[in-house]
Amino acid sequence: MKLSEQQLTSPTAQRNLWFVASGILLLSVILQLAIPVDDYFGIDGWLPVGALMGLGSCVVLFAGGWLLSLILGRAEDYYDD
Amino acid sequence: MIEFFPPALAVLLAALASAFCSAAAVRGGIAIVGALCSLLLTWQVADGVIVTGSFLGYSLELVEGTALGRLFATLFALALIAGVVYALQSASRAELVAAQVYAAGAMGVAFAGDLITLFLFWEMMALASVALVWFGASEGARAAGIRYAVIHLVGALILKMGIEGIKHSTGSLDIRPFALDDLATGLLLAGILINAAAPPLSAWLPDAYPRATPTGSVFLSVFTTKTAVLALILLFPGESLLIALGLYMAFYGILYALREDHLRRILAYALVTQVGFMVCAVGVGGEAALNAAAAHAVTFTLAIALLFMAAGAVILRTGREHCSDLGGLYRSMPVTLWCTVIGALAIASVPLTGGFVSRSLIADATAGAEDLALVYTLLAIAAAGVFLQVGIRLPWLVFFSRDSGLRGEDAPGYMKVAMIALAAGCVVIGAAPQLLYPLLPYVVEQQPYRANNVLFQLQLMLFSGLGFFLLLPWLRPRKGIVLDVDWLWRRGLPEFADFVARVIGSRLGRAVERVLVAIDEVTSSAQKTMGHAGPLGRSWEIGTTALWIVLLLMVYVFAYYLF
Repeated sequence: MKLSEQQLTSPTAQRNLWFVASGILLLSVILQLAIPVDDYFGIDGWLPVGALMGLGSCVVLFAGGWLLSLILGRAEDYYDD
Repeated sequence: MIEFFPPALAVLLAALASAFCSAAAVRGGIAIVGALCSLLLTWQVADGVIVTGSFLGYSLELVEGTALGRLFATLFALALIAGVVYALQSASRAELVAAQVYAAGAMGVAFAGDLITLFLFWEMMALASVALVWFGASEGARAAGIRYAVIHLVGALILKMGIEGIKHSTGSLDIRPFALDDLATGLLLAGILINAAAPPLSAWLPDAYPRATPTGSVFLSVFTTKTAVLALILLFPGESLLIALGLYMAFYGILYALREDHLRRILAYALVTQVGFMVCAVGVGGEAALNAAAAHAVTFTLAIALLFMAAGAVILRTGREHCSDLGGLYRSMPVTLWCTVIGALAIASVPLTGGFVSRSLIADATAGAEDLALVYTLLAIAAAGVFLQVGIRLPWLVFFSRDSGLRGEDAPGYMKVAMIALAAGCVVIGAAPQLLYPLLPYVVEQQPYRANNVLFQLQLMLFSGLGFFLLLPWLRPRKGIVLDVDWLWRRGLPEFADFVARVIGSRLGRAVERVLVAIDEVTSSAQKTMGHAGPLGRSWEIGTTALWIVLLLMVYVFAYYLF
């Protein structure tokens, strides 16, 4: 059965997508119990280090980018006038 | 009599032939044949110097075979073929010729056996790339092309001064690793770093590349920065300064791209970021890291050229270039969508793409060394940032996000062929990296597809993706620009010069005015005294004159006796 675009973008479908995505995220962390990641410098072998690093980097970089555009952002025609 | 036909010459001859050909398809065919011949010749280049010549008294080693040279020349030839196929329906004759000359310059650099040969081909690239920017044919492209030309002219001067300094101090022009221990090597490094878009002169790249035509951007994304990386591998392997510069470039590109709205400017920043990864790997040095830098040049070039092609197809079909004007294109451009997704995932180093292989090689080269713990961590953070910058944000904004209502056709046939070929390249290297390993300069001992490495990389990407969707309301692109170092010469210095001219001009003016007034007063006073009517100027009677003479003589006599 082919799903229509409305079915794919409905709130229910989106909620289900979030459930599936959350499950995958959780699974990637749980898998580390069976497959320990490389422990080069001590803390990088801790359980959710990749997850924390991914999420933390995202937040920190977002904040940096946002601050940068706040301070140095100008209109597209800034150099034209 | 040439003992071997240089690969660059094959491309140059094809450029010459296509310059006189009016039919677009034949022109493209000639360019492809030229690139194929150069590819064939590249793999005939044996190790060692095989073509020599002389120029202005210099003995040149025009073609010197090395594994690294063959790898980069192969990459340049393949990129040229893909670019020409992509451009078959859209590039003008002059643009295609410029692209071929540009590629020939890059191939010449790849096989250069001495610093003068490297410099000559380097400048050939600079001239051709300026032309490609100018083919953008807008006022912005004209101005950006001039800025680009000036930056590269300055870079060329610095590079040439460094080469002459090295010639003077060592008596040799051989391409070999240098230590950064005197002014000449410092100038040589600075000249190369300008082409790598390293700080503080990174801004020329996001300024110029998005102004070219969509096809011009594809060619520009391939050659200049990659030849700079090649030169760094050959001349400054293990130079620790490059680690800091590379990391700066990686984060610079991510931070500037995060709220960028202009499609090709996002890609230009991604280009700087990835060149930063390569520069950092060169700085780490050692066989593993240099292998990683070369591998990343290959995988990344395929991915970024693919993304510039996809961006070009979107621009061609919608006429829009700002992400905030796009969105919802997955409905009408499915092939472009899938190619963009593959290119974006490859740049973000997702497993089963070429980017994952080369990024893992870079990470492995830094892993384990205590003094590189911070570098390893920062590279991992930057990798997560790249997923945010291009891996997920770009396809989301252009093809999903809100529906812009734009309904164009998918990319034209030739463009699709080129994009699919590059997407296949990204996936093939990702799935079978052992195809790439024999082409690298050293034996590869790492294995990227370790379960723990894949898991770590997946965690990094997946949770970065989670962060993206959580922060999505605040990650909307912002129309406009973010000021960069180029503000200094585009706005700061001209305004300062105006200010100085105004201040000095007004003060100088007032001083000159006072002097003129004083001169005027003196002359008018002299006029009153010594003019025809003045006491010293008019005719006196003889008696009056005699009286004055007697009086003056009396004054003199009294003075003589008294003093």
